[in-house]
Amino acid sequence: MTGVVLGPPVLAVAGEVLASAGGDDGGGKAVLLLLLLAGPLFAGWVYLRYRNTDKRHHHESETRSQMLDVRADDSRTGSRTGLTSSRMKGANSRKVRAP
Amino acid sequence: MSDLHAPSPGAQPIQPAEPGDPQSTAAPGGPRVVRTGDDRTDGLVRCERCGATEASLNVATGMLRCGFCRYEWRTENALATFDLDGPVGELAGVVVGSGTADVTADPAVTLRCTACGADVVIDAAAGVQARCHWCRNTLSLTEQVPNGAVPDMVLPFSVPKADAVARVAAFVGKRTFFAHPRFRAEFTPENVMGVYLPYMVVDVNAHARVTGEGEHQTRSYTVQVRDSQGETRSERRYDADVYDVRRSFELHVDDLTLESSAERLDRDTARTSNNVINTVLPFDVENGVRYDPRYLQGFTSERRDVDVAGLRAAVHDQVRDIARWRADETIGFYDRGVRWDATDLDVRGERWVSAYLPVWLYSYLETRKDGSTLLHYVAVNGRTGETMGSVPLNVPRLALVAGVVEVVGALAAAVLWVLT
Repeated sequence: MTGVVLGPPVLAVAGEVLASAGGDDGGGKAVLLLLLLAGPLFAGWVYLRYRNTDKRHHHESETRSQMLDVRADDSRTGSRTGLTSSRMKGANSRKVRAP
Repeated sequence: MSDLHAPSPGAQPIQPAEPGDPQSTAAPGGPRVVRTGDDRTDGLVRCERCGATEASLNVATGMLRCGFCRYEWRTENALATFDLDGPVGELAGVVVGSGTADVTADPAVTLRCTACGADVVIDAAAGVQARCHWCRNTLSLTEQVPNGAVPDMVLPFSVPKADAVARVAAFVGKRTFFAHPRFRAEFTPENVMGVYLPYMVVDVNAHARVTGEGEHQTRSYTVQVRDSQGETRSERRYDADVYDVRRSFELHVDDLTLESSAERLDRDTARTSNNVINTVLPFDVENGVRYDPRYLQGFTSERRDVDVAGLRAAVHDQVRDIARWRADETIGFYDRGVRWDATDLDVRGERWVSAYLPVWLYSYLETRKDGSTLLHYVAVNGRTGETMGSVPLNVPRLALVAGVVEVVGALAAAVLWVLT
């Protein structure tokens, strides 16, 4: 009886502990991976700093423009549950396509 | 998938030349051409006060200064003079400056010196001024023959050479340790060159429609999951509502600026470092003045070799990017993001002006071991001073240091692994 009553809170606490342990574990793995890739990451950072091959004029944000008479026509089409990522899959609204 | 409706002669009204307006002509079915070359002819361009043919830009004041009497004067603002700065929303059809005419003619032009009658050949690919070899007067190319050498307007340098030298030296100074040893040994920032590069400045009046799908989060929670070893761990899960998202709006794009030489449009970073010249955009093109070759005295210039038709697709692609960027301001509700699937443009009007824009360039030709070459630039915007560059790398030194970093990182990883 006691076990049944205490079950949900204990599970909840256990879940939190597991979650924090899992987070630490994930964080630890990320640090390990970064340390193991330190050489290539450093070389890539220096390459971009010297050669600046990733730089371009940001025409999408640096060009003067006016947006007038904005009309929105949005409609709900459904829902998705149990998604594992906090971001939408395939979201591209900040991507630029023109060279 | 994007659909584009470019202004076509049948569908879009082309503004007729206004009666009595000598500066504007419209061929049937073609764009309205605003003549920016007026009645000037090649040859002697004289000082307004003493009549001398030598004058040049005084960078400090932005005015032309006579080489003899030191009189200084300013030429008119190009866009205002030729009425090319009207509201973008009123643009209909295609309006072009006469300096954007398709490049068809040979760059070599023969000028007759009006002082002594000698014939002098100017290679417009190399410059727009020459000295008469008989009477030593300076002859200028001002007539707009369709060889891409004479644009509608020029934006004079306002960053002096000393300032550009200091900016190049500071930029490279922060990147010396891994720089190629020959580059370091030969680095002479005083060799920076002032170059007027050819650009097209484009205004676009369009109706934009962007459509896609967006997600709005409704719930976030933790679940227990069991992995293949039977261990339980918690993971985050999210629920979201899905929406079809549509935005339509009028879009007025002002002074979109694109390179108009094929060489500069090549931005493959394996072959060129043109991307660093592209990075120093934008310019305050609204301050451009009517083209006068004397602004180019003491500087070099590159000839335009790409026409309006060759750039239109790139302009429309960039306008689509701007449309999506602006539409982003209206999608705050979709906190999980939006995937745009289509961007449709209905272009109602375009205005094209060709311009020489000022860039200070420091260049270094790297010859690689396989014999291939790569021209590295450090570019300084001749108006804003924005600086960007490409510095050749000392690859063996970088590999050595990266190797040491890797060893240290691996050791640290091993220690961390043992401790945990």
